[in-house]
Amino acid sequence: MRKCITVLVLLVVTLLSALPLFSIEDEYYRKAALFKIFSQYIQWPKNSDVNDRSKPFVVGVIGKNPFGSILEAAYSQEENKIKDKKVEIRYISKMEEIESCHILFISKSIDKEQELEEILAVTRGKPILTIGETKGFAGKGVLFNLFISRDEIRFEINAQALRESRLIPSSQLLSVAKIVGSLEAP
Amino acid sequence: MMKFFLRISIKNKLILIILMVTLLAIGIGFGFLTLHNIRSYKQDMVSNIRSSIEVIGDYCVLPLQFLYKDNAANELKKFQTIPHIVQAVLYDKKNDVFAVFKRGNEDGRDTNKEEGPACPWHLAHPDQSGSPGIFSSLFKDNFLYAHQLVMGNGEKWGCLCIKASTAALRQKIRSHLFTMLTVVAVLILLSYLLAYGLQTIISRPILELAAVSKEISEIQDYSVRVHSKGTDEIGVLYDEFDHMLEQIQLREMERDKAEKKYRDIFENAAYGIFQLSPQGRPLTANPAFARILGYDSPEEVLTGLTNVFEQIYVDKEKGNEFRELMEKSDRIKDFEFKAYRKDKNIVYLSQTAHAVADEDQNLLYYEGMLEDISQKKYLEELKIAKEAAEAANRAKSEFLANMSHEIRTPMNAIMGFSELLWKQVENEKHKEYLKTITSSGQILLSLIDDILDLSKIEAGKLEINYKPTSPHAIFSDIESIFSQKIDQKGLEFRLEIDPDLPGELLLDEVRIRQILFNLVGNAVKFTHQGYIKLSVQQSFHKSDHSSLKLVFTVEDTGIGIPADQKELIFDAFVQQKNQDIYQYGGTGLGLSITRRLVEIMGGKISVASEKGKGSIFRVVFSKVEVPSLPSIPGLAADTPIPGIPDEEIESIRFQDSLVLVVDDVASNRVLIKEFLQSVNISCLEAENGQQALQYARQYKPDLVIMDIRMPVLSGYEATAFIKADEQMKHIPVVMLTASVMKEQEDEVKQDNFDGFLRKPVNRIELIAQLMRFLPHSIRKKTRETVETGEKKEPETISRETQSQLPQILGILENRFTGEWKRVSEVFILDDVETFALGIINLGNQYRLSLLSQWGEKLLKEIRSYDMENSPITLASFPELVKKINVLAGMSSNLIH
Repeated sequence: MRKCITVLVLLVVTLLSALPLFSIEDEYYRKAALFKIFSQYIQWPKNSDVNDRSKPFVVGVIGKNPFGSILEAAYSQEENKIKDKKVEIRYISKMEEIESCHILFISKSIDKEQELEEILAVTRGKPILTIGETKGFAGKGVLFNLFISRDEIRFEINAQALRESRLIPSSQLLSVAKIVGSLEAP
Repeated sequence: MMKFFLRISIKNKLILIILMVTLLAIGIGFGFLTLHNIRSYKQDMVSNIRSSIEVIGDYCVLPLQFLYKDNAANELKKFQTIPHIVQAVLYDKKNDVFAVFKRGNEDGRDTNKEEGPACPWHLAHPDQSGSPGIFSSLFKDNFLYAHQLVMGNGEKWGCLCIKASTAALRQKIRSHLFTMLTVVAVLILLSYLLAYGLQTIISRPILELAAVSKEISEIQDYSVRVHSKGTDEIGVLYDEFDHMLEQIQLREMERDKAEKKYRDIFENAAYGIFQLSPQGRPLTANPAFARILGYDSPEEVLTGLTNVFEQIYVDKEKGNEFRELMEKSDRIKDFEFKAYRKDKNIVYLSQTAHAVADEDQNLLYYEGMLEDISQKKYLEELKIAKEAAEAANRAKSEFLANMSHEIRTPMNAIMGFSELLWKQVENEKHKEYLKTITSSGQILLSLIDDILDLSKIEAGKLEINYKPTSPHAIFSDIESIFSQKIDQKGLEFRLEIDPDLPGELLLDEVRIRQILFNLVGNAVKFTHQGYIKLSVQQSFHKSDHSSLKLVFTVEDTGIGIPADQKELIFDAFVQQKNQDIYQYGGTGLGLSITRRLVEIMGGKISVASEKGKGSIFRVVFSKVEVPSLPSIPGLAADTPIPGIPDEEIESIRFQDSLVLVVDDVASNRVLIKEFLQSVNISCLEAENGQQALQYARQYKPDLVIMDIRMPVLSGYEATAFIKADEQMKHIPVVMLTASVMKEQEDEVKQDNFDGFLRKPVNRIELIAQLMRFLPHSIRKKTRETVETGEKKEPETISRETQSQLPQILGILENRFTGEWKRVSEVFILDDVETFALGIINLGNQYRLSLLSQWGEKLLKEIRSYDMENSPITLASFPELVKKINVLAGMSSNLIH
């Protein structure tokens, strides 16, 4: 028996060690915070209504909401503005809703490529910051894709898609991201 | 410190001051500069790293946001390029270490075990709020700490703490300081040099002035001047210095002058000046002081005298008295005392002094002056003695004068009555007695006169009456007076008269007589063999013969005078020593009176003599005046008419007159009365002035003869009354006095008297006075001729004879007087006859009938054995001679 327990413990420990140190809740708190942080380092095009302060900053979440109420908790306060705008959280159920988002978070529940493509088709070429959390999504055309590496939430950037979106990232942001594709325009 | 500052020299003071100021300036200046630089260096350092820190801090925002520690570390790695930064620590929001950079340590990964420095701010502010500003820096412990807040979008994501090494900074500062100090040092050196050089501008004049002052003080030469060189304060100082020197010099000069003045006074004072300690030791003395006390110098006094109270004061009580007086009243004046000189002689001193005390009234010393009053005292004593002597003398004179009056009055009686008696007595023997009485009386009188003369002379009251006098008459008188005695002693009498001797000279006859009488008398007295010579020489002074030098010489071959007594004999009452008083008698008054008379008359008397060989007495009158006008004897009111022989007087007849005789002494009155009656004048007598007035009023006499000293009313007063009375004032009053003072004469003239008679009254004098006031006539008495009844030839004298009278007189004196004396004494008829014949011859020879007639008369009487008249006639020979003298005097005056 003892042997089993030991093995179990070992397994758990190993598993746990492979697991991120922070809890799931932590993860999505952090991810939620990232929206604001990312926004600080990205410039939307001039004609985007991001520049209009009177309009809210829309953060859309498509797929199954992993955040729970975290997003609301994080951005409901007056001071928690993104781009100095009030943040609106939309849970996208319809495609038409995507376009009005400034940031679209694609939850990992969207695991089908088709689904993804449908989304991307809408967002392609539009100043919508798509942020995924599924492995390989950046390669598929999501602008930013979050992944966890050694207790850090890192992200990869699809350079082409970013370019096409006409969103301008700061160099410093780029320097800490994993760049997929070439930053240089062909 | 101040003391030190004061002690160093001006030069160093100035240098020190300049240096200190310089140092201060440099110090402050460079100090600030350095501080500023240091700050600026620090600030530079800070600002240098600040921008880097800010930038890097900015780059740390993203890592902090994304929690990418590695990225943060990488960013921090950039500090490698920033110099000095040794460590940088990035803290997250919660002030946990996020990333670390350590120079020399490439591992940027932070662990909690990091030993790096805690951020001082976090240490200081444990709470997360409150931060010191976005960027702060702090220099601490050789490190510079900087703290940068990492802000993103106004939000604090963390802070960056930097630790930088200040080694370089410090080095920089050090080198900076070194440079500064070097510069400062050089500056100080430069300023020292400059100060050293420039301080002389101030110090040299001062030092020179100081040097000059010192020199002046040492040499005491105040004529030096410094001469200002500028117009600044030093110049003014110089000017004032010179000015001050001038004043000092002036004051020195004045002080020297004053000192000299007072020193002169001090040194040359006739009085001794001194300062004396309370114990009597001389502190100061001037030469006069030394001299008074018989010391050679003031120095000798100061060393030789230690206590005047012991050594100088003869009476110690006087010394004590001095001190007591000083204590009482602080000063004394004319304090007299006897003092010992150095040679122990005693002098009289007078001291005036005062005490000098300090502020507390303590006696410091006595100060004063000494005067030698020995002389004064001596003179005082002399004066007292003199006054006593004079008083005694005066008393004596008064006594004598009184005595003379007392004596003369009875003498008057003796003489007068003797004279009267002589006329009335027939008996020869009685006549002899009377003669003796008379001569004795004469002697007494002359003695009194001598004494009175002497007292007069001594009292200085003898007056000389210069009148035209016939010297020849005097000589013949003397010859006749002494002829008897001379013949008696078998001596020869020689008379030598200078032929040019004028017949009259201005002399005091009485005194000359006295002198010659005395000298010749002495000669006669002291000569027992040989001769006595009386000679007189004269020499005119001026060509007009108005005065001459007259020399009388009396020479004898007597006993002589020893040399040592030649002076003594002139002293009153002193006779020649060993002179036999019995042999020679005398009072010894004669020569002393003689000498004084000579001297009073301005002459000199001297004697040349040798014991046993005789003597020569010489009287010299250097200036005898020859009277220019002939004087007529008899008109001088107060002298009796000289030379009128008895017979002549006899022939004076007065008219009936009444004379009032006033005298309290009866015998005097009787005497005068007899005299008056002999000339037929009636007489009234009064005893005193009162009676006199009564009688005068009643009887109105023609003349009053008034004695002075009378009871009840004196002669003066009575006369005054008479003269005041209208009815009596015309009556002449003749004063009758025993006093022999000439003052009386003056009083007579001043007062109311018209004349005076001296007692004892001489008949002739009396008659002379009577002649003045009473009418009379001179009737030539017809001589009682002898039976022959020869007519007397009138006595007329020819001119020729007149001029020869002196010669005649000379012969008479030389030859006949002596003979007469002889013949008178021993009355031998033959001799008398011879004598008479001689006279007759002489008279015929010179045709002087006076002589020849007298001679013939005598002859006749002798030849007729008239023993009654012949002696009388013979005895009248002197009168004859006298008469001739008068004639000679008269005529000589008439001739001249």
